[in-house]
Amino acid sequence: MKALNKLVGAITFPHSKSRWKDILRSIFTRYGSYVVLVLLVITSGILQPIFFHPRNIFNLLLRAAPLGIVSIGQFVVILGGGIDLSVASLMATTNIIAAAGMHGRNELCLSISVVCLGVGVLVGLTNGVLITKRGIPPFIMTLGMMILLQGIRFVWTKGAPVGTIPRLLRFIGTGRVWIVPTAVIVFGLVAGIGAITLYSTTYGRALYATGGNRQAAKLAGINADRVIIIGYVISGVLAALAGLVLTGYLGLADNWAGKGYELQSIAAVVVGGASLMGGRGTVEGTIAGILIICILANMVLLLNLAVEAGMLVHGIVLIAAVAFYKARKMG
Amino acid sequence: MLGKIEAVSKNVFYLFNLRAQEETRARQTVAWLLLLATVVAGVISSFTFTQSHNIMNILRQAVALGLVATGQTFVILGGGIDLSVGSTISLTSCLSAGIMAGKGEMVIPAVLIAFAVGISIGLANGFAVSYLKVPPLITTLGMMSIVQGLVLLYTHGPVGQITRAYAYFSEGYIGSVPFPVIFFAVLFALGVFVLRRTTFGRHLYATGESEDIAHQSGIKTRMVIFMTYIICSLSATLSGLFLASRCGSGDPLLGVGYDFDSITVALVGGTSLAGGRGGLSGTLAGVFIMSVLNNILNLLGVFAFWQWVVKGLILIIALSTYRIKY
Repeated sequence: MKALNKLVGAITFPHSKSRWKDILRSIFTRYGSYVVLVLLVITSGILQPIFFHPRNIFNLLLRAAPLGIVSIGQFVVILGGGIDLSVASLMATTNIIAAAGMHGRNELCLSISVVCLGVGVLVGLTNGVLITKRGIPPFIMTLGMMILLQGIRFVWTKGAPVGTIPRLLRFIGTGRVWIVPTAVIVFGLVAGIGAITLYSTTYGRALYATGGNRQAAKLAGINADRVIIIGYVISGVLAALAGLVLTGYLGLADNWAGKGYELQSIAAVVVGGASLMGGRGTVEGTIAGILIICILANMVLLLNLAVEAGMLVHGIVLIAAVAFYKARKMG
Repeated sequence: MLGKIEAVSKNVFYLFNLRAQEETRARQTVAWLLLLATVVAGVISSFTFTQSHNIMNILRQAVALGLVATGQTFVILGGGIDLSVGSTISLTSCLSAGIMAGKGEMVIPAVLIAFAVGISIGLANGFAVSYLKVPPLITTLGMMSIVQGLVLLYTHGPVGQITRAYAYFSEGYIGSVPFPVIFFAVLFALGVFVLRRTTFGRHLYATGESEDIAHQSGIKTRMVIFMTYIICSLSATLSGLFLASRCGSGDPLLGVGYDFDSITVALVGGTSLAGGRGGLSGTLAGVFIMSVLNNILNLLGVFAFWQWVVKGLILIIALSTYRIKY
């Protein structure tokens, strides 16, 4: 057992006697996610130069956009110390509503989109209120919401979704403005607004405070409940928006659209350096996390690896990356 | 000096776990009351509900989930969570059925290999959580992906064939009681014994309640948490072996849903995600609530998809009645 401890200690260098290790460790903790990202990009370029081809970058960013939008929402919730498992289900629900409501007609695009965003607000409100006022753990509440939405969706469509996606939405999901994909523009806007909100507004400060230490924030006069509820509403709206973008990308109605995105978004946020306890994390870090996950998926395709190998790599990288960040705890 | 007295009294109070015990008992009572309500609903709603073959059905359905949920309860009690059980079930079912391939002499090797794999997954989870300090959610999430990848590397579709002897595991009877029910009952009793009557069980509740205080009290918290993940993976392995027997072959998607279901069932049963509160009795109630509800919906001929709506609502409603500070 002592030997095991020594081994683990050696790997995660807690009692560093050299300045080098200190420097290395501090680089890792503050900029860990960017280091991983850069290493990944370099490795990808070496292994498969096509990676840098504009077409590939375009596809990569296009596929990253919906995940990115959801992850920003997830980041807001995690910052507050919570978690949102219902986002993927919400994405699929907006997919269904959009397809059935728009029925391929461009004129209805805007109005139905607003309806979808409204559903996002409603779901977020329900999540937030029940979590703060009834004391239900976020994991359970959002899990229950995920299953509930799933049930409603399947009951309503009877398992067979209908409707078609109008050209306008398809353009948003797959088209481009000059060389930049429209989906990426949407993601960029979301990330930008998110960064401004989190870093430069009172709400952002309040959110960081609440996530860091709820009691202290309350004593400082922050309405912690309201901050958390707004966080979940943001997550709901962004999930709905991501659902719309994903719908545009997919071009069809699917009861399982966005499957797995809830766990992927959590992974992206944590790989980006945020703490699951709340109060720590940056938008840039989250974006790095999103890119890391999407580049891994992209490389699996480029290297012609089996999908299964991709899953293996995804899991190992996830655990390894977080293990490296956590190394600081030992020091 | 005063600090030392404080520390000692904290430990004494805490070693007796008075508040935790009261709360645990309260939550589990609520869970069993919920079960009672569900059963009453069942009796009212359909005549076939109380017939013996239906009850045997409910019990048999409950075994697979019950086995996993037992292990999951151990992990949650320690303050963690295990999302990899679903893919572990898939992997062990595929491996066991695949290696068995209908040959009688391969049954024992198949089961042994399945156990070896299951324990390795538990070892990996435990190591990452307690030694590398990776949050359990992330560890088991990553492990879920890894294990699912491994399953798919092994097979893309249903694989393997069980032997007639192995089918006894799920189809056999001892007297008039199905064998799997007895099997589960024995294991469940073992679990309850470990939790309530062994030092390990006491240490587990202590660690879940507060890892810091438990550590300062001299409990080897790392080891305790490590063990819970091994226990959980073992129970998932058993569940996978059972399901392989039930379905006749292994399937890479067999375990889908068991991860969230086992967590749901443990939490509805009163176990707290923060750890230290709750227990197996409540989990059992939770498992039955789930099985009985599914059964009622089937008997009433309700549209299959409504089951999800019911599940979601039960989860939210049940948890909102607990209202304990997390």
